[in-house]
Amino acid sequence: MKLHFNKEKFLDGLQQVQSVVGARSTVPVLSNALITVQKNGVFLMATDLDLAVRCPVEAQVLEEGATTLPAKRLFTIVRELAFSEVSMEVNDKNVATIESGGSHFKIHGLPETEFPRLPKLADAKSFTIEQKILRDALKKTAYAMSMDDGRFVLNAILLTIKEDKLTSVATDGRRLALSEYDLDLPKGTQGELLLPSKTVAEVQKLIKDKGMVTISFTENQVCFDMEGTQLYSKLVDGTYPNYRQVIPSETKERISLEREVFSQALHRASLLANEKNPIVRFEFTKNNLCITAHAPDVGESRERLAINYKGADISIGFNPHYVLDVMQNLENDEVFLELSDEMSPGVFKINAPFLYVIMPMRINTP
Amino acid sequence: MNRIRILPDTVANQIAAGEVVERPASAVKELVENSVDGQASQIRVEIKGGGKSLIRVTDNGHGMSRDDALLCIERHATSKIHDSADITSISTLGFRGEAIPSIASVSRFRLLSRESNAPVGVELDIHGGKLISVKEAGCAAGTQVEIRNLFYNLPARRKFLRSDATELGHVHHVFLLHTLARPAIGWTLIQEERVIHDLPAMPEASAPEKHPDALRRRIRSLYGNQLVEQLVPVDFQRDGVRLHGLIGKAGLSRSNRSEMYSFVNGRPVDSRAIYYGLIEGYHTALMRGRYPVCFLFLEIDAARVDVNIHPAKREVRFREDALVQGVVIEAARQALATKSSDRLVELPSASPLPTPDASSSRKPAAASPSPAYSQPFLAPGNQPSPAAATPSSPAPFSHPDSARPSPPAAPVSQPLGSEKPAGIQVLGVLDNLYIIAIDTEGLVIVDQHAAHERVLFEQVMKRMSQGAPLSQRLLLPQTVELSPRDASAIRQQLAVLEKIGIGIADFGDRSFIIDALPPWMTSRNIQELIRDVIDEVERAGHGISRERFAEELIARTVCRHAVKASDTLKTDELQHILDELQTCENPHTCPHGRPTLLRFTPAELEKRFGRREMGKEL
Repeated sequence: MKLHFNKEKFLDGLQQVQSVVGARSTVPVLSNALITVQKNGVFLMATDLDLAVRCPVEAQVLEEGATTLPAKRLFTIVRELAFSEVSMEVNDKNVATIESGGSHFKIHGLPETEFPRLPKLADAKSFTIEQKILRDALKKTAYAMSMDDGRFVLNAILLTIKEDKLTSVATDGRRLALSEYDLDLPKGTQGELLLPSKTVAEVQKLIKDKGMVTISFTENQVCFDMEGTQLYSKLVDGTYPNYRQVIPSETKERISLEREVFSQALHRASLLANEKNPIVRFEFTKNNLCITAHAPDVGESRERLAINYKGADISIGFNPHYVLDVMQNLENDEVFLELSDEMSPGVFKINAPFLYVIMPMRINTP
Repeated sequence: MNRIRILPDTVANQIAAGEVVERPASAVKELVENSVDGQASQIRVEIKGGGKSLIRVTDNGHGMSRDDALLCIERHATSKIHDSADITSISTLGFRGEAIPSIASVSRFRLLSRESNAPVGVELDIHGGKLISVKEAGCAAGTQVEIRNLFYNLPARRKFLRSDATELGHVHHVFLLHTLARPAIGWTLIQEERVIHDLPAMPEASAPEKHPDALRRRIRSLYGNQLVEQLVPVDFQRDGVRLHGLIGKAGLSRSNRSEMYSFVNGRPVDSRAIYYGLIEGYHTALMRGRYPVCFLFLEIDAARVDVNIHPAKREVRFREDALVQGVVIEAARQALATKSSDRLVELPSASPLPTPDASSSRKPAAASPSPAYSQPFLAPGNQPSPAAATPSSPAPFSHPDSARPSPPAAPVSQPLGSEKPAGIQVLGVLDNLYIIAIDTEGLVIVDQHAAHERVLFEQVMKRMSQGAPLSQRLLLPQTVELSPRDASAIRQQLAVLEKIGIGIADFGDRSFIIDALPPWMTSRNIQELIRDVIDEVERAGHGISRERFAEELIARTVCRHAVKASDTLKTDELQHILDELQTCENPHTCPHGRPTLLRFTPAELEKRFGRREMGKEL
């Protein structure tokens, strides 16, 4: 096989696939990227067996063929080349010769036949939505996924397609983020997908603000086709907890907050809430919010904010990271916090179908 | 014809022998215990061929009359208990009356005994359980039992015996156990006609206050000086359970349990309650997977312990396991805490090494109260008033945390802001890792990373114990179902768990509902987490606290924050770490249990330089 390519374009493709390659792979071929050169195009692919990414790259095909080359090494070599015109030739023994200007590299690959095949999604259902919707759905919920490897169903985002709505939910058992979108889908399209956290991260890397994405899925596999670039993944096999029951149906107070001002004040206050004491207190009094943190032996902080509040005095403790997480992933200027009392969950909302339930933290009297 | 028959006595005895006498060492154990129960003050054990050819145990106990001697070879004949009520409160080592007939049934057995007031003794010869002869014999007061050709009539059993060296090792161990258990008795071990151990009797050991001393001497003669120097005394009492003896200092550990000796009412036993309690008591002072060294004596009312659960009585069962474990935990904690505080902070006046700036840092008035000097001061007044005693009171030199009230006339001893007591002084640093320093006891080499870790660890733990416990509520409360045993363990500790931030409520039967967790407890599988909590609760008993659960997390965090092995530190910084280390509760190990410091006393250096022979006193 033989091809010419532009350094930058090829590098783009390599970048998309190389993050999938496992750092310590037990099967050597999984450290490699598959390069397929056909008359109709050149494709790069990498997989860690849970996840596979395949993307097209622009190149001039001189001779068809396929091989696998060490992904990380190939990436570094191409990145460091001085000239943008690159030629690559691979012989029968899977030794690739890369030439560009005065540079000359020979790298040993493995036969293409050893590389895992892409899964065929049999009887897949599929639907197509705007990439920016999926991107927003993931952004607004991904941070709430559980990072601990205890309850694996929580290490995932639940995407539900039902009644012309896409719902994205994530929770780690202490807070829950939910974002919802109206879609115009062919009648009867519905499904539930539990996307593993690594897949979520990879999709977030590949997805753009423009264009469409076609999501095809079966019982246990999914494929995101983002206008050529495809990501295949396993789905988490499990039952997601019934999250609807934890969303408070009604709350007593609704407080409007300026997101920017509020999150900066919170961030400052939380400087004195450390790893061992991850708590800040929110005290709502008439037209006033006071955020305090206190670290024994270190000191304390207090931030005062003028707000528009007419309700009953409430004092409630939250883990500041949980609140900052949601603030950082929203773009709206105004957010609403709904509260009932210091023992009940708080709910952050915006002027869109989104909510973030967060459980309070209590200070026990020793 | 009947299928079922009553076995003849010899066969019954041989079967019993299978349980009681497994190998020569078990025979030695039975005989030695009889001697101890027979009030002997001198016991001699002779061994040949690893005990396979000869075991001879001679004592100077109260001996037996002719009738007693004949009776003792009958099964279930004993002088040690009388009725079933006695079984619940056994104070002798033996009680079943099985050992002698069992041994006699599987060996060529000879018994010589004389009561001290009898003019003549008795000699019995038994071969394989058959009485060969009974005759009068002249012998010393006491009893001598000779066992030759053990298992000669049970070739199957004999085949299972190991090499002489192995069997000898077992005999040795049994001997060791009993000599440690009874320092008051004089012991001799003779092997192939060579005296291996000759341990003098220390009758004073029966007095509780003299026991530690005697035990120390006994350990010294068995193990040498080095070990003894690394032991600290333990003495603790609660609810009628007393634990005393010696345990290794923090930092002393072994790779197995072979040097964990425990004795319950003078009986050498293996007890989970004691072992687990001790390891828990060491806690971070012991590296995980390592075992402490201990010589522990537990005194408890005989009715509260059941020794009748193991044929060889190697194990005992306590009526109140948790109580015993608690006592051991507390005893070890106290012993280790006192030791570490006086070790690094105290300025012993009998320092073998003159500390360079020791004299400059102290005021002359308080500088040299050697015992000889302070004695006359205290002698004249029968009750010196505090004011009169202060100027030269040795109090400032006693343990800082001792119960003695510190004198009000503080200015004399240490003006504020003056130099700190010269506890430890940095000389330099090796490889950007090992701080070389000296203190009053000699040369100290400190691992800067481990030391800093310990310092930070204790600071964080202290801060944590001051802060109010937090509890993060869960979105989805979870029910866990526990085994009946775990459920009842947890049920007793609900309040404690609530206090450390675990919101847990009894959901009836064996179910519990968990609706809140402390923020540092990550949401692994809750079932698993609760199981861990139960384990901890079981291990630590009432000492459970939220710091405990957070320990691992804290240890990991401080490890990241502590100075690294290759960090270059200024002398001031090094000194600061050492000063802080001195104030730690447990300065000898890092939170993972690795040692923070190594110490070389002048005595040890002398040994290494060949100025002094190994193991010999100065």
